[in-house]
Amino acid sequence: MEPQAEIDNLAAEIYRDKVLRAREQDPCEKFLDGFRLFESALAFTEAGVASELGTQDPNAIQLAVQARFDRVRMVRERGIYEPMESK
Amino acid sequence: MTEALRKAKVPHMIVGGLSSNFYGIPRNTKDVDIVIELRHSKQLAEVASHLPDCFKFDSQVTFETITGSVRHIVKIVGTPFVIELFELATDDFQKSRFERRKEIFVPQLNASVSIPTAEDVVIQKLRWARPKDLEDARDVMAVQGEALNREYIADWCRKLGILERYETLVASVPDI
Repeated sequence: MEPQAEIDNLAAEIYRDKVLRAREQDPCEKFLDGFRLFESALAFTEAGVASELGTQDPNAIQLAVQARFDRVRMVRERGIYEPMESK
Repeated sequence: MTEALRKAKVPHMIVGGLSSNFYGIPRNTKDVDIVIELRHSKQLAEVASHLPDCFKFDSQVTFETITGSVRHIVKIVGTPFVIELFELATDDFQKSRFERRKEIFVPQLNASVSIPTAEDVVIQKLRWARPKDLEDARDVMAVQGEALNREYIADWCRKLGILERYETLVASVPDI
């Protein structure tokens, strides 16, 4: 089998597994996973920012993480949301 | 927030990533999106009065350029997680989606929340059609399978001019 075909098959198999697991899972647990996964991702982001800044100061880390989120939000929302004044 | 909305008698439903998590494959979400039906603007002040002090309404109100829905952002002090409140837009699909919302009891929260139906989640995701929206729509379709009313989805997609997008999505969903 060609290497790319192998990768495609593997990707399809992984997706199939995800779908089957999601069907088995309690929908309310999946609903709450949105928050849980955010908390885990946030912890990784905070660790990365702490490493970049070379500090363990929680206030400095929080400010830098917030700035990162604000930047991402600004980029993602460009052209989608406009201030009410300009309506 | 949902408790504050209930106390202020503001009909609402949770949309966005959390609603697609319920029907599809769970993923991380950095905000909670809630559609609210306001009878008058003073109701928002009442909602605010029922919230803890760490919930802060952003002074900058924005509108979303696709459906024209007005958005209020509520920040939570100490976390980048935000809550976005969208005033119910007047277009037919938004009104229908809101009327068809269903209440689910979440035992882990010991509370009920309202969310759109699975079909309406797919349609809304197709309207936005950003990469993550299309992925969410595909996941909901794959997980829900035959339980979805595909005729209903196709009908709205036809009315909204996104039928081709829906057909492309259907073709991308593996038969699992």
